[in-house]
Amino acid sequence: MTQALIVFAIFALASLPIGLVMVLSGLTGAVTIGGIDYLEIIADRFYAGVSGFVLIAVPYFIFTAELMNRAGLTDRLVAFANSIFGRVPGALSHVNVTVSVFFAGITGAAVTDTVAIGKTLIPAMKKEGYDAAYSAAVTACSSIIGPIIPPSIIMIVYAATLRNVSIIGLFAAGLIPGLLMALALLVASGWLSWRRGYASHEAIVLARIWQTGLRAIAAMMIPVLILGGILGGLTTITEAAAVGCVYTLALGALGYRTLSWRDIWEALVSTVSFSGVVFLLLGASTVLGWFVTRSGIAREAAEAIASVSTEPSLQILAVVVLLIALGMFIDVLPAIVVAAPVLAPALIHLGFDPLHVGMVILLSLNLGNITPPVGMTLMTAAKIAKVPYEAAIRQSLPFLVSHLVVIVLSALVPELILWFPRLIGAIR
Amino acid sequence: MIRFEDLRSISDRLNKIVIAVSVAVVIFMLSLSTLGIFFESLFTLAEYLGLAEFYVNSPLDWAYSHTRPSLTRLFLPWLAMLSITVAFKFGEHIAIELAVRTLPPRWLFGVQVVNLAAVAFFAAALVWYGYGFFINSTQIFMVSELLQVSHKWTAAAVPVSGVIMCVHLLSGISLLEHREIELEAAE
Repeated sequence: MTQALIVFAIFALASLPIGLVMVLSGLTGAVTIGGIDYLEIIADRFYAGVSGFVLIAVPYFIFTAELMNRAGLTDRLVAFANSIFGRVPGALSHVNVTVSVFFAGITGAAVTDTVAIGKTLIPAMKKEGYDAAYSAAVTACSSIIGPIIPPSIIMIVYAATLRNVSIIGLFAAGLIPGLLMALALLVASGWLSWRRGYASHEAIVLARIWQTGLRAIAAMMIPVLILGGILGGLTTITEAAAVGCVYTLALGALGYRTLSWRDIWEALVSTVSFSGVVFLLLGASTVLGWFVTRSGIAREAAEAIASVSTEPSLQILAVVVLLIALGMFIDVLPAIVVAAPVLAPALIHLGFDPLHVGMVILLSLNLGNITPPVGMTLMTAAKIAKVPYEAAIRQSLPFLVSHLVVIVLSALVPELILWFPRLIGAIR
Repeated sequence: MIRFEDLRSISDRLNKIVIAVSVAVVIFMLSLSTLGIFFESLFTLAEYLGLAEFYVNSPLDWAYSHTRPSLTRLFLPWLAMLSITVAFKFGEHIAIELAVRTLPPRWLFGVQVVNLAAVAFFAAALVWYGYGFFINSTQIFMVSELLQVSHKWTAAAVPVSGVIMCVHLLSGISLLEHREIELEAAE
């Protein structure tokens, strides 16, 4: 156990790709259990980690996101959201949050959403007099709704890693917390915009809402197709992901004619590359998971959490704090595969519902996208806005508080997470 | 005398081939999934209209049974393992860079050499143990009565990706640096 931890710490600090760090520490642990012969688990376990049927959806969702970015569908969504807010101070700031909700129903990856929305909205916000760092902050902080409202790559990875929750259950469970995140961000954005006197637009004109809505309706159908298919029980996740891809491709290439062959090729290459990032983590997590299961770490973690307090609310809040701290240093995907196999069984052992546990873990780790020092999404937004990362961190603090409120609420009120899955029959 | 650039160009060329194969696999999987949904919709419609007997044992029925997810799944390990090598080549894999950013250049070079050795170990382990995994994979995937595929077909993805990783080691330390995806180079 100690040897595996030492290997993990040394190579993680040495900036070896985190997937390889997990493989090496998992193998070190395996060797301490059964000697050098146990190195052979690498082939079998790694293969098992990347060949699960549901993982077919991963490249499909990534491809859909890549096509969305290149087909200019974002501009149509922005124009529609813009027409809704009219004279409300800070209209573009609220547009940013609203468009993130649309995007969340399509892509499910925070960085992708930040790039897509940020490249369109950040320059527009700067032009209207918004602080550039604020523009970066609101973009990044709203993009992290993406992995919570389904579909979501992190949920697929969580379910593939843990194997004790249904992905459809997780997808359904993310809807209410995701919408609450949007609401909390809109409150923060409204308050800040009012205090700072950010620009409003011309009065709301119904004809304009209708016109921009019509132009965006085909793009808005993508989440309807994907989520309606999955949550309505009409399609499997893989099929829904394929439908989303083909629809976006047809819309961009044949409908709007904004996708060239070159765009499609670039989208495919990016899909292959980003899929590789996810698959390395999945394969590595199964190698490390093999050791974690045999080492008894999960049982020790359960005992440690139980020793914090006998009060369930304090136990789960302790886990939230631990995960947020972990997310400050490790990116979301590796953090899931490192922490979830240890903490989820521990919390379930203490009597928490597996779906509640899963969502609280994902909500807490997802915050790592915007928390310093390693907030990948916030860094990306700061790069787009051409502002120092530190400035974006400062501006993101009010939004961070909004997210924290939603996470704590979701941890303490399980019904916020479990009500909708129960309503649609995803859980009993 | 072999120059470092020559060695790296071998890795670059191989990466282009791997990208082309991976893209082809994505397109093929997506086409299979789409056809599967199309045939399934047709089948459901035929059942609804009471025409299922015309569908069963027809070429459409055969096509339906050969576009099932079980067939798509055969390509997933290949896409997964090959894409991992592509992400390595593009320096896309996630790492914690906070600590090494503070290191002086000479120390940084030493750390990168150690990291490259770790990548080499991973690649060699994939080849060595992957080959054993390949040899011992004796099960058969039953896609349909007609189409039965040996597990060796998918298991081979492990040692093959290991070999590709070994070739990419020729890129030296640049393998561990993040680069923008070289789309033009990939064409």
